[in-house]
Amino acid sequence: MKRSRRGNADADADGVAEGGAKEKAASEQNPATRRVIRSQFLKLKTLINEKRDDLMNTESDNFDTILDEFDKLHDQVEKPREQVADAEALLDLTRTLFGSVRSLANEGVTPSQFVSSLLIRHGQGQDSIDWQKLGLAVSPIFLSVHGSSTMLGPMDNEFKKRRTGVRKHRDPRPTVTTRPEQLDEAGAVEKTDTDINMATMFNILRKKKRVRLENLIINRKSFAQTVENLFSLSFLVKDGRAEISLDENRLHYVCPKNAPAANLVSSKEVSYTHFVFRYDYQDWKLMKDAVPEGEDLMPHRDQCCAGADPQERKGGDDSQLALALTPIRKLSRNRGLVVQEESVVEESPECDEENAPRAGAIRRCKRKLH
Amino acid sequence: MANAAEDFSQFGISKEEKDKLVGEVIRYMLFKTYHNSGCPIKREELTQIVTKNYHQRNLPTFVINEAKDELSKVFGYEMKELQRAHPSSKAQTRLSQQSGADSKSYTLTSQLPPNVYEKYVVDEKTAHLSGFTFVIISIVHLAGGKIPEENLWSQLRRMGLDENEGSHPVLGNVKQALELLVQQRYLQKDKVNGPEGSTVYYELAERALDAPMSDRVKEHISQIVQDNTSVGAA
Repeated sequence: MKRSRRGNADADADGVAEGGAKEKAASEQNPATRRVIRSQFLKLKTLINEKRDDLMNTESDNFDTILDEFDKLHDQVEKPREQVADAEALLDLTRTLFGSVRSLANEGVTPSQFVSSLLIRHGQGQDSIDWQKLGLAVSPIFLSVHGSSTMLGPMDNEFKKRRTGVRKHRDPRPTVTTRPEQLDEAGAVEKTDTDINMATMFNILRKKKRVRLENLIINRKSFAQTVENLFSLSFLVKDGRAEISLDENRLHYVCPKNAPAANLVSSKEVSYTHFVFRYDYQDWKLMKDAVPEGEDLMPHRDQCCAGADPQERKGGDDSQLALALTPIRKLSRNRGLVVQEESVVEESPECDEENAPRAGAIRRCKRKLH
Repeated sequence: MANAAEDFSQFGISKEEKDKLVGEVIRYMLFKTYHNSGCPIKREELTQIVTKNYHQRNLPTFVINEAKDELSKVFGYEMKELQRAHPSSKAQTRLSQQSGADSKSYTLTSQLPPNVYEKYVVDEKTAHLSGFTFVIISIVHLAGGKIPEENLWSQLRRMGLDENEGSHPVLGNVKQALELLVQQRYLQKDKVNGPEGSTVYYELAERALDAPMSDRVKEHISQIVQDNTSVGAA
């Protein structure tokens, strides 16, 4: 059974009479009706906020009007959602009244009344205040001190003492000077295949003085060895021991040179240079046709003997298969450095017997670039 | 004078050393007050001036008290000690956590009579800020010492001050001006979590609750309101 907030006798009688009917209607309340009730509570909350300063005014009947509205809406509330809206609106009203009662302690002056008085007394136009004028009038309330805005020197004016370094004088300990035994390093450093190749090429240049570049690097029997020759020539040029020049027919010629002195290199008077050379299998074929047979200067290196390790020479299908696989390092995006075994794809059509030892030789054909 | 000499002799320092320390504290108070726009200066900052070179136990307290006397005698300034007040909603929980010494700070106020101050000292360049401070303190005071942020802004909007206004012709950024009052300890912010979410309240802080100032504010409020009613009656 529901009751009015006012709780008068008439309401009680009505409540008893209509109790059963209301309970039956509760389950059948229309969602649209419920939405309307909630929106009316929202309007009521807005009204409370708007009339906040007028609620406690004895000459105004706003408070009674709002409370009557509450009672009417309260009677229509059936479901929890509307009960929450009802409670929230009532809480708003209570808070507003509480604030008003607290402000009564200040001789009944509300913030709103104070602002209105301020706008009349210190106003500039409708909704603005002469802050300067007001400030000058109220400054004695605060008796503010503004401090000093200028000063000689920084806040912390101490001189930092220079720290004097104190050296520790240690007594020299008796030491025995020994000279390590000098070892013969000749055997220690092995010459790489590239170094041997360079020496061979330089000797040819010394004898011939001036040779065609194509004649110097071409190897009719092997595309791979032609590339190795080109590689060796590039190091000779870099070290300043060979020079490439063009003649009037724009043909490349290679001449030997004395390498620059070490002090000239360190003083940067002389700088090392490389050259970039585009060269593929098709170029090798063209070069073979361009250079007459017998005019190629670099000897063919027989790698069956020179190249392979003793284990590689043993032969056998397994060892040959192992040699044909070269570890290729790849940077995988997911797992960092990955070493993959992939077979070397030969571009030059060479005999199978030669492939195995060559793989070993190529692996050792290294030279450090400084 | 002999009594004062006895006082600092217990610390094993000469009169010159004592005077130097007092001078440094005074100097710090004056310049820091300007640089901080009147915000209170923490006690620990003043203590550090002394403890930097001297480690006697009660020396900082002695030097600060001496500085108070000197500021009063020489400059006519009162060095007021503020004990940090906590928001009403957190008063009980916070009090046990924070010791009194940590929360002490100092401000400078003039000891001149208000009429003399008004005539000779008032700085016209910063007068508008005094006006703004008075209005805010008055609104919060009339609301019972505590007001929701939204209600405060609704009153300020009536005076042409908007929360989102970045460049008011006189006050500049109004939100920053309000925040400065929190830093100056006229106001304090309090966030209260309720069933409908959190609400920010502004309440009076220790400087506004200081009895002489509070009385002067009340007096001025009633003066403004009475003048208004008398104008209305006429």
